[in-house]
Amino acid sequence: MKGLTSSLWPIRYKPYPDELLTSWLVRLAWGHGLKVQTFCNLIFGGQRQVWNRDVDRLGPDWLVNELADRTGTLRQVAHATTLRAYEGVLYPKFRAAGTLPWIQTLMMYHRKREGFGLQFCPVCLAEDEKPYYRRSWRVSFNTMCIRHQVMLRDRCAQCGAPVIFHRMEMGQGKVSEVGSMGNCHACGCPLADSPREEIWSYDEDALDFHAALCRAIAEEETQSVDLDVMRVMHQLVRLMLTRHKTVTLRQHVCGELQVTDLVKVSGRIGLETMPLMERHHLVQLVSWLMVDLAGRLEVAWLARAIRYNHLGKDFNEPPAWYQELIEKFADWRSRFQ
Amino acid sequence: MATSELKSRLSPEAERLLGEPDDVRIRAIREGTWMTYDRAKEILARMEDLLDYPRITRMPNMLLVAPSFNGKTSILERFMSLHPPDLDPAAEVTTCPVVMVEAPPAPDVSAFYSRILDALMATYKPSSSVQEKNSQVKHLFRELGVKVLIVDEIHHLIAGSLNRQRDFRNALKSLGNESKVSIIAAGIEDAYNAFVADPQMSSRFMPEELPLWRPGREVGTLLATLERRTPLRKPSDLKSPKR
Ligand SMILES: [Zn+2]
Ligand SMILES: [Zn+2]
Repeated sequence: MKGLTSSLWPIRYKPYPDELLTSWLVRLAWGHGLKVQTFCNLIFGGQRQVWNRDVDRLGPDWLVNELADRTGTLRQVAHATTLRAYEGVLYPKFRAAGTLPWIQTLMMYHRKREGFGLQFCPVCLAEDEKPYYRRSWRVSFNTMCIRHQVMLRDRCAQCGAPVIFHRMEMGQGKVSEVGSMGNCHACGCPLADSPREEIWSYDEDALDFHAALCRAIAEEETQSVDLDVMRVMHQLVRLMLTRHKTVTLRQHVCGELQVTDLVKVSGRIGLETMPLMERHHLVQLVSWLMVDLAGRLEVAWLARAIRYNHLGKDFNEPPAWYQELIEKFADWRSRFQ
Repeated sequence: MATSELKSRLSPEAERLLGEPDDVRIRAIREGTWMTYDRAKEILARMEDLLDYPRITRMPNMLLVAPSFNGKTSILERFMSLHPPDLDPAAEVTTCPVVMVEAPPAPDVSAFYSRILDALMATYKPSSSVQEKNSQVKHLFRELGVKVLIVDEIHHLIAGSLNRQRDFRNALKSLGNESKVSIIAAGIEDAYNAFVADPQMSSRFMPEELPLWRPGREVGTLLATLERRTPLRKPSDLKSPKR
């Protein structure tokens, strides 16, 4: 290679289908035989810190474009590894600060960086030639793997640690001693060996509705996801989690479905920081409403589980069809007619 | 001089260049040309053998010894040019069957690994420990499918203390063993002496000598070929002993 100059890296893995930016980055670093931290310092300099923030979510251009250019990957393909690329699909506008609707946070959970923000399917990991992490595994409503018909998991079954795959190499001498990305960073056991839990649900139609969303996001068919539907669902999730005493929508739906409420803490905490089981429960409840939104909201309204002013509260520019639908509940007197 | 005479005197490429301005022709001459001759062919064939060799525990190696300015480096470069790295951007890795480095001016193992990493165009930390560099080199050899490592100017080995020479030889040996890569070490005669000092080395490295050129049929043929390929307007008659 003498005399050849190339901006391409000798190792230029392309992103796997639906691969998450950091998963790709870690594969590239290890492919070079370097620790992730060393690799990033060499490429981006010590000034640009990669691992003390949620880079999958931020998807900074300096990082994404560098990886694209050095691996011979189209920039738009590289960009699609970030959670930013869900702009206009799961949320209307990307924001660097605050939470993004439907995007799991890695942030503080009980004050430690222990948000169970990254889920995984044990069967996917077991089938991968090289285990890798999917972008769709950061999406809050995506609680099941449709391909394998199992529940996703959001922590190590062995030790309960969250998935922080780039920390695999902590305390390891050489990169060659680091195991696969598919191992738990804390106890080292293969996440692919986690129990495979069958998908559970309360209602067949609600499950179909929920599963269609999971399929669209996992198969990268985001054009079939309706942003307005996602926004309305998110509004309903918020209502279900509010601590407002006059809103008992969640309890109401649980009653209708005759199921036990699994949500332990509501208020302050958003869907995006909740553990998998509670999220799955909530999205099932909301999906059940969505299957017949007008009819089931009316029942809830008649049962006083919800008031008109809450349905539109803090909802910026709601879709016209939703606005129209909730207008029926504007006059509380009509309840008695 | 008739055009027909010129045509028969020069190779088609040299002939094409005849019409070019001086600076273009001078550049073409300076770029040089690969001329094959029997001994070079033999050595290149041995190198091909090394390249095709199955990966076994004890890979065969070669020690190419030649006096200075005797065409050793052009043989190595010829071999390199026959097996260039595949830099296809669409590929997941560069396929790089042959890597060539010059031995560092002193037998410094860390500098040696750095040169290999440079040749692979790899990202690496220059201040890494020798062990870290060693494991990165081995890792990349595996990833990039390296089969032959050429270390030119191997006689730099003797520029250091006996201890450092030994360390360097051991590094070469273990790199070959652990990564199952054949090593072609090339240098002037001093290299031979540095290698035979170590029985283990001399048993692993098959020596190939490139002798000093002497007047004879082969030199004559070589010079005639050189002349045919050199875009000069007048014949030089290089092969004639009288000149
Ligand atoms: Zn799966
Ligand atoms: Zn664990």
